[in-house]
Amino acid sequence: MNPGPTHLVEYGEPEQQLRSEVWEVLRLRAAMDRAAAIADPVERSRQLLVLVRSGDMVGGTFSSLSALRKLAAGGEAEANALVSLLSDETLLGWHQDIIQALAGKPVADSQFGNFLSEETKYWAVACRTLKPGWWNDMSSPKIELSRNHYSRAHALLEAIRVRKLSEPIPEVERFAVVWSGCPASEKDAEKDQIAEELNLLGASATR
Amino acid sequence: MGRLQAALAKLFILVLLSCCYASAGIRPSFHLESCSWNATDIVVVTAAGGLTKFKVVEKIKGEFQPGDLLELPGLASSKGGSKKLAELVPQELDQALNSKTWFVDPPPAQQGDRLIIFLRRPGALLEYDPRRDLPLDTKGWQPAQRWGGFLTSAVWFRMESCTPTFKR
Repeated sequence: MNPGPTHLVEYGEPEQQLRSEVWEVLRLRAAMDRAAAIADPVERSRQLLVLVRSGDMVGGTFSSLSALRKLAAGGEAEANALVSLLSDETLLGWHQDIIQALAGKPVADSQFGNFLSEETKYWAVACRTLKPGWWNDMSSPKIELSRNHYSRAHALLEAIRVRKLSEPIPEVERFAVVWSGCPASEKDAEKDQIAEELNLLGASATR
Repeated sequence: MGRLQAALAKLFILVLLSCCYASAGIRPSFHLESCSWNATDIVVVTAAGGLTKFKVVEKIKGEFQPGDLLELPGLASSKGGSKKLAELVPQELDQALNSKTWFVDPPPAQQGDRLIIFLRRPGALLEYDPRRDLPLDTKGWQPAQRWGGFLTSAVWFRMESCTPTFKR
């Protein structure tokens, strides 16, 4: 990123490297075009899942985001595919996007409750070791893990709220109890996004 | 240029750089993944006379063939004159930090210079568009990236050979 006007700079990579990266992106893009053209929704979803998992490759960000968008636009097969991704710990950094894609899908409400229970378990342990302002504590080796779980929990709560469930799910209250005992993610912050989301859901998360 | 030649040649590569995630104070920049993902056509071109005409010398993706001519007003250089690419880029740190020395126009393509251009053919949308809520120009040939025009959908190359005969 460069603040200020777009201007000419030296790229810093040899041409061969640049070409190689272009071809890597084009290979992924071709795989996306093939997957999107598959008529059978189950097989199409299976191929799109492979592309969601390409996030670490060159072009993987676009491949993952595009595949998620296509899964989000689909039906039952696509919803099942998205649910399966939420059990994959290696994709934890993508779970927020996956949950957002899943929010409006035909999925049992209990699925969201089950995933939120996983977060309750994680935070029940993690909160014992975290200090106030932990979000910016780069000295902690597990900070990225906690950040990803934070984003996952927030996305789950938001999805539960957006789905406007007729019955409150008990998992939210259980999560709120654990969260109320957690140190603030940012120093001097009265509330964080999760606490705000819990309040919108009618659950108490007072520290 | 063949693959072997490209591997052997020492090249000076320049881009108009910034960022594809636009926000206040941050200007668009070349982003290889965004350009490659959304391009319908990727070609290597050289200047073909005038400010806006380019000749295709290699096709990387799409339907252009070597020898085809492209007219791209968005790459017309009105500044820089006969300067070489290297002369348009700040070489010292204090110059690099001084926005008054930045070259913000399309660089003038000199003989021997090449460009890789990432294009969207007429009517084509972005395959992945993070801002589908915003209008997108699809009339005529368009840059592959949403933001920054052709400046952020092209890479300029200058041959820099070890032998004096090719020195520019």
